[in-house]
Formats: sequence, structure tokens, C-alpha cells
Amino acid sequence: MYNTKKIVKNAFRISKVRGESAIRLRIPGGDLDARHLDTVKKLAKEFGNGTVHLSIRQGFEIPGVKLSQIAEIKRVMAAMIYDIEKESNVILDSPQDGYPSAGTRNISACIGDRVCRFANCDAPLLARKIEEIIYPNDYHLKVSVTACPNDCIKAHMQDIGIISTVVPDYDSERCISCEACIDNCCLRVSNALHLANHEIIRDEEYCIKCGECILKCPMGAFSRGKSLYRIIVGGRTGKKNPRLANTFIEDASEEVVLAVCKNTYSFIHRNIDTKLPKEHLGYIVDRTGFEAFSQEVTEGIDMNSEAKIVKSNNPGYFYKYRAA
Amino acid sequence: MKTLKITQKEAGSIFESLSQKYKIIAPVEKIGEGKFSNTSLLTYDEVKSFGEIEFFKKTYFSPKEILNPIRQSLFEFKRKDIREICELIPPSIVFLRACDINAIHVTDAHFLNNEKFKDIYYKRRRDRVKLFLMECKEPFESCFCVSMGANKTEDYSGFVRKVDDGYEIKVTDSELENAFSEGTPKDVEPAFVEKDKNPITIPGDIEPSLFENDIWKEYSKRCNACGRCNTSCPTCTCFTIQDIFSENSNNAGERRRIWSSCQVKNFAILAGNHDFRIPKGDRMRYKVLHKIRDFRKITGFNMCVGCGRCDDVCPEYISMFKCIEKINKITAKKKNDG
Repeated sequence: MYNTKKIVKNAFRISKVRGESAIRLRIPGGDLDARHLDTVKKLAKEFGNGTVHLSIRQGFEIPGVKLSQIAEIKRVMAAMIYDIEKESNVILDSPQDGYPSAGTRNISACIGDRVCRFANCDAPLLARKIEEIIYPNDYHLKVSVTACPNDCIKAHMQDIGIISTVVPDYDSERCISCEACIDNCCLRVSNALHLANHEIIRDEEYCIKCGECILKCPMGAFSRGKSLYRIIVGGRTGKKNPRLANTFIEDASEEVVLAVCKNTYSFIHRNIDTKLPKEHLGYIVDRTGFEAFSQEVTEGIDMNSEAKIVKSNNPGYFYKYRAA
Repeated sequence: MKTLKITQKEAGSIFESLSQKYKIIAPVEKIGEGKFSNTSLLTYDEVKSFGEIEFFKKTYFSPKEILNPIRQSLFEFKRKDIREICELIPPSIVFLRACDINAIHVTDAHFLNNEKFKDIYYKRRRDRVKLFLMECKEPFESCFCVSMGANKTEDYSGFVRKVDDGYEIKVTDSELENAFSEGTPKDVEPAFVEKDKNPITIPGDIEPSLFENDIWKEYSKRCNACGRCNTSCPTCTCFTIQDIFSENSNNAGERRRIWSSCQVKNFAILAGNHDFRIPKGDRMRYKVLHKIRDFRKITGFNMCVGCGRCDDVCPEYISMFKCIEKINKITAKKKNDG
């Protein structure tokens, strides 16, 4: 009566309530023109149970809709999903048929420099640029963008996490040796700064380029230098082996970020175990080895001069697994 | 005196001829250089055309570093030999609003008109700077220059008003008249702001009993001692001294002075590491009363010029203006209570 595989690929859920589903709306970067809320409200009121669930990936889920009404629901939401995806330069060929794929999850992002004082970039905008490169796609992948190493979006829990950073440029001629940057870095970050001969020395080995020193300086002696990104990979939750993502490429440019996201799909395509219904990136990497992953994903990418590829060896932790 | 209207084209050649003799420093907006991501920094810098000047927005930093450099070498020493460092800046023209010109009168009072001591380092710079007035058509939100009596000035070598199709100019300095050889004569007078958006009365007599008042306690909780109010203030000129020793030498090097801030740590540290002004509310009191009481006792006029920069830059939204209002209420009540 219903083809569940098709329904799920179409981004509808199979509910625990027989005959019911939930609509899942993709909102790249968690950034939505408020006019679409009218459609969301209409869908919830007319087809669902009147509620809207805000998902961890920053999508909307509208529960309590009937599987039998999916065709009509898709007609109502067509214009909205077309417009939302178009904002990311993704053109849906037939929006009246709903989403073409659901494997690649919504790209979530913190609010970034649209509001946040700590932000080093416009995270929702970068999320949209990533959306343009990787959607639609059936491979299961979770990507998040966070505008500073506070990582409010929890990029450390994603297959690919993008953390925006900034190189602090120091002009000693503007420095008044007030030590606000040093005290703050010691308390809140990595203690990468110290004073020598009344001037600030920044230790590259410890600095994580969070940009806090720029914010703390009352003189503008620290200013915003080059905008870079830390790409972390392999984060995941799950019932087997949860772990936090580890640094893969330090100080990548935006171009490198986008290229890595793109190449990850070719890597998955070449290495995924097709016997399984789906295989998450982290498990594929565990199987191929991190070096093979690193090599394949960076192949053909013109790395910016600052970029450094590092080795990742965080095993995470395993739930106890009873031997067969 | 000369008053005239010049076109954009004429402005180009007038700027050219002025800049042959003068370095021209004015407010500029530096896109992307603000401390927050994707923001601009409004500050003072050298400009290469009238077009680069930001006539309509208030700067984050004041122009004071032109006369009071952030770090200034005073002398070099080698054992007992001392050689004074005499650094001359190029003759400069600085574009200022009335409040900032009045702020220079405050720093003049500190460094030049002080009976006991004239600061030669300040004087060398001051003598080479000519002041150009920019007007404020409307007061900015946080400004209270009228309340502080710093909204007007006649102390300027030139006045420039940006209009749609060029500039209106008044030159009062005969040395500069030749540079303004183009343009059409036109009556030009600067207009000054006559009313603050939020006018306040400046308290007359402030008794020492105010020192112990509870109003300062609130600031101990709110202030994070970043010092931005000081570093952006056009009249804060406190400095400290640093000795920079030459490599491998304990008796040769350079002494410089460097901006200080009464709000940041270590400002009130004495020998033996005694800090006599630890609560941030006490620091706030020290600053505010210097600006509207102590300085006036010596010079007869207020130190604060009401530019409102300290309000604009405070990350905790602490307001000098509101603080003065609070003091006002207390002193007025005292008076009424008799």
C-alpha cells in the first residue's frame, strides 16, 4: 500500500502510529525567511496535529500527518521548499514531488556573525554554500558549521564539522600592555599569550585562533587577520561507538572546506559497504583507515598555504558488546 | 578669511595642494576592520582625498593619538648618559567635530597651560597641527556636548561641509588661503548643535560625601574593567612609563610613555603591590569625578566634552551620561534637604 523506502527517501517519516507520518523540512543553516512560517503553520494545522517539532538539525518536523495525504501535502509545500533551496542555489527540478533525497541531512549552523559577538564568520551563509555543493544526495552525512571554537552547534558531534577561526594580527604600536588578552586567554582559552618586554607574544603552538584576544583588546591592537576554518571529522552519536570529531585539516580556506565536503561523497561512493542499508561516514573511515580517507578526500584539492592536514586517532568509546 | 563653494573636481586639486605641505588626518570608515566579524571600524587615519573622509558618522576611537601617541619614546639612556628623543611629526591638518576641538583644549590645559610644567613632547606635536572643523547637523544618540558646553568652537583654521555636489568651505587661517585658490565665493558659516537629544544638568558642587554613596556599588557589579571608556575618550591622557632595555644590557635602553587606563588592573598599584582602588565602582567614581569635578576645580571648566564615546563603546552598556544624571539627583536632593 505504501512504499516505505520511497517515503523515507522523500524526507517523510514512518510514524509509530500506523498510517501516520511526519513532514521533515530542510532549513540549511537554520536560517529561514519568516514568511515561510505561514506555510509551516498551514501544514501543521490542516494536515498535522497542530504542533511543530524543532529538530536537533534545525529542521521543522510536522507530526501527525496522514500517509494518505502525502501527495496533497507535497503540493502545499512545493513553493516553500523550492524557495528555501533556491536560497542555497539548489534548484529542485520537481518541487511538487517533495524532496529528492533525505540521506544528506540538513546542514545546521549557529547564528554566526549575524548576531553573535564571538562569531568569526556568517555560519548560516557557509552552511548554504555547503548545501549547494552536497544536496541532493542519498548518502547519509551530517555536516554543521559553527562560527567559533565555542562550537555552539556541536560540530564535534558531526561527520564533518566546520569551525570558523581567525588569525589575530597584532600591532604592538597600538598595545598598551593592559594584559586583558593574556588574562582572558589564560582563563577561557589555551593560555597562548604572554608578555615579553611589554609586548604580547602569541604562541602559534597553543593558539586555537578563536579571536577572543581581538574582542578583549580595548585598543584594536589585535585585529582580524585571515579568516580560516578547522575541519573536524568523524564525530557521531549512536548505539555502538559514539565519539567526538577530531581535527582533520587545520587552517583551511573556505574553498578547501567546500572541496573537502564534495570529495567526501566520492570517498563514500568508492568505499561504502552496500550490503548495509546505510553506513555512516565514521564507520567507513574506521574500515578504510584514516590515512586512506585523508588521501582520497584531499586528492586534487589545491590547499591554501596555511592548511595543515593532521592525523586523527580518536577511537571514541564503545558500549559493551557481547561477543558472539 | 575666505568662504567658498567648491566642486568635487576642484576639491581634488585643492586637496592636492594642501597635501603638499600637510598630512591630512580625518575620520574614516575601515570596512571589515571592526573587532566583530564583518563590521567596520570608524577611526582616525591619514586620507588621500576629501572623498575618503567620513563626515557623518562618529568615530569609535577619538583623535587624541595624533597629539598623544599610544607609545611615545621619551629618551634613550646608557648608564648615566641620557639623550632626549625629539620626534617631529609632519605638519598636519586634523578634521574634528566641535567636541573634539574642545577636548584638545582640555589636553592643552594638562600639557601646555600647566604653570609648573610644559610637556615638550606634546607641544612639539601640538605646534604642528592645524584644526579643521566638521559640523554635526544632528546630535548623535549618545552625545551630550551641549550640556557640557562643548558644542561650539571658534578655534579652527578651516571648516569643511560636505554637500551633494561638492564642499562648502571657510578658511580662517591666512597660511592656508592660497591652497583654496579655486571655487566660487559663497557665505559659509558652520552650524552647531544647539540641543542634546537627552539634555542633562551638570552638577555644580559635588561634596566629598558622594564618594561613599551607594551608586558606585552598581558599577562594581557591571563594569568588567576593560578600559574602553578610557581608550576611546578624547580627554583621557593618563600614561605610564616603560623602560625597554637593549638586548644583553641592564643599563642601556629607552624610556617610553604609554597610554594607561584608570579602569584596568594595575593602574593604582603602588610599591609593595598595594592596590588602593580595587572595586570597579571606585574606579568609575574616580573617572567620572575627574571628568566633571576635580579637573574643573583646577581649570574652571569640565574635562568631559560630552562626545558620548564612552557610552558607545562600553560592552556592558554603562553610561557616563546616566551616571551624571544619578549624581545630579543626589546633589539636588542634598540641596533641597538643605
